[in-house]
Amino acid sequence: MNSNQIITGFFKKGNDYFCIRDDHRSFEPCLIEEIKNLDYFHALEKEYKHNATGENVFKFNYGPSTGGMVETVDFKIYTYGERILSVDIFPEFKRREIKITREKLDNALLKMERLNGFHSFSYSTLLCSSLERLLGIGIPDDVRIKRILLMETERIISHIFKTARLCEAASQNIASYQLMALREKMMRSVAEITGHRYMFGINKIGGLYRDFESSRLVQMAREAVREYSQIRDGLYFSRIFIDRIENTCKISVPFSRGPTMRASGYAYDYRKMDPYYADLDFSIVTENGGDSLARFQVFAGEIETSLEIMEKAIEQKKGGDFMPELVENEIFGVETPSGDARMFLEMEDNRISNIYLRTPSMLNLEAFARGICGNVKTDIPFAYESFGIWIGELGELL
Amino acid sequence: MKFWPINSLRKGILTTKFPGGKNETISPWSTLPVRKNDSEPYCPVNAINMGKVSLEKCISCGRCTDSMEPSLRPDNFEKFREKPLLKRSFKIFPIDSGTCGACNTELFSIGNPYYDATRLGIFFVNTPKQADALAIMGVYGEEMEPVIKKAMDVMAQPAVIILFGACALSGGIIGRGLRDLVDPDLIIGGCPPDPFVILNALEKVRGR
Repeated sequence: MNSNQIITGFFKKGNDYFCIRDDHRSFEPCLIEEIKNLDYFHALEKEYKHNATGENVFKFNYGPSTGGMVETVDFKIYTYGERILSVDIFPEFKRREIKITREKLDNALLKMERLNGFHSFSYSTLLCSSLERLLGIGIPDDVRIKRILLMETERIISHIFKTARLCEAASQNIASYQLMALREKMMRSVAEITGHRYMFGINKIGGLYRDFESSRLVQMAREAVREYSQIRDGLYFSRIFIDRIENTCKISVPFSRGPTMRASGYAYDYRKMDPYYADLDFSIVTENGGDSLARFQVFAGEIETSLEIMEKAIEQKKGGDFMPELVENEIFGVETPSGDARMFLEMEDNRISNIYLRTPSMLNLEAFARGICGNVKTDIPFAYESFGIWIGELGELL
Repeated sequence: MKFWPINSLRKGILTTKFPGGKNETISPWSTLPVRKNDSEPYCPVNAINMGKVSLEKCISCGRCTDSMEPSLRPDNFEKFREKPLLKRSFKIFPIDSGTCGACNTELFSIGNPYYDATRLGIFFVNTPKQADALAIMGVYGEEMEPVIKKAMDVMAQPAVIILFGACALSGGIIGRGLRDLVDPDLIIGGCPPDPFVILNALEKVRGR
């Protein structure tokens, strides 16, 4: 299936509006009416309200601070009993305002790392690579390869975490603990190799602050993927697990992002457009179910793909500098473990003067709100976990 | 289904002996840096004063690496009051005021088999009403102020208030901290704090 180059973000520059489309590397002028007509327009404005009315319908509150969720988020569930008719989601309880413009570039990078600490390396690479291209700074090809290795490691860790949370919510406690142990093992190795469990402080505009041995990272990933595959096979044999996640939170919308989108059959992965991955051939993992089971299958498939990319990347020893061409009106991007993030950046006097970032969670939260309708309240935790949503990403970059 | 018990037995015991034994590992830059030479250190958040690093301000970025190095010590916390009545069982309710997600997942990490906080009588609960401790993390957010105050009101005494991570302590590099909103019994530094530091701090505030 093709995502029809749909609009997945928009921003205002002066008095004009510009939009971001899938498969396009440049932003395009557009009319605000065109954007307002999108049925997911409010998601691009970070509003998720889907009021429902009817006889005996009442609002059931879940959140903002509750033990079942990792982050602060408030759900107002419209229901007349167990079945969810609709849901309003309020992420603004923890909406942070992060000042990037006019900051020293290195401080902007530290802040960007903390937009989503769980996917910090993807976001720091997005900012570094965008600034390097705007400033005309070439990086040694070895740095490009090391950034790929760290981004793919981050993806593997993230997918293991999501699978573990999915198992926990579906009462597969042994599998969940084994996956959490596997993630911890990887985090410890990452800390030992790079100096920080969440890869903070490694990226630098024009290179890396802390160098590391690539082969150790790849060896760690090999062992982790082997161990993950055993647990995955065990889960495929568990009828209880499969029955619980099959047909849960089924959604097929082209505006969803990353594994959520690919689990609905849309073969879109920003890495195919990313100059970093230009010489690294890989297949996009897709499934057709659109449910939590399909998303789990995509996580499992992508973990193997990430290792495959790492193995290919480490074999590439080109030497020289990496300096991809900057296209006119470029919208930068990165495929984070939860989906593609796209960014518009403008500079003035060597500082960022204007920034717009569309994160995958902005759209995946809307996909979740739509998909959960018709399910029961107990489905919320594992449906939510299968979307890989991070509320921290919904912060405002100023 | 024989797979799960066999696979579990094959893995053996993963759990640390800490705090009885030494911590096997630690995230280097999550620990407080110490001097390695006399050169003037650079810090983007001014956490270093006269060569001493403030645990409240340090954001674990490692930008001071030319003159500092990680201490690798799991003591990146400060205890203001001790609650020995909570020695046997300690139930924690986490509140995220405005985090990047790393503090949340590091706090939950102490429940994984490598740390197994339940062996020390430490558990997570789903409501502050049942909690002995609130672990508040992230930067100040106006919307979260009433939520935090309400959570503190419903807790039974004795209760421990923990400010967790650089953002909650000083705002880090992102925003404003929570020190003027709550009076903590325990502060844990790091961006984010390492699980061994967390375990160590939780044990100490209970007087163990």
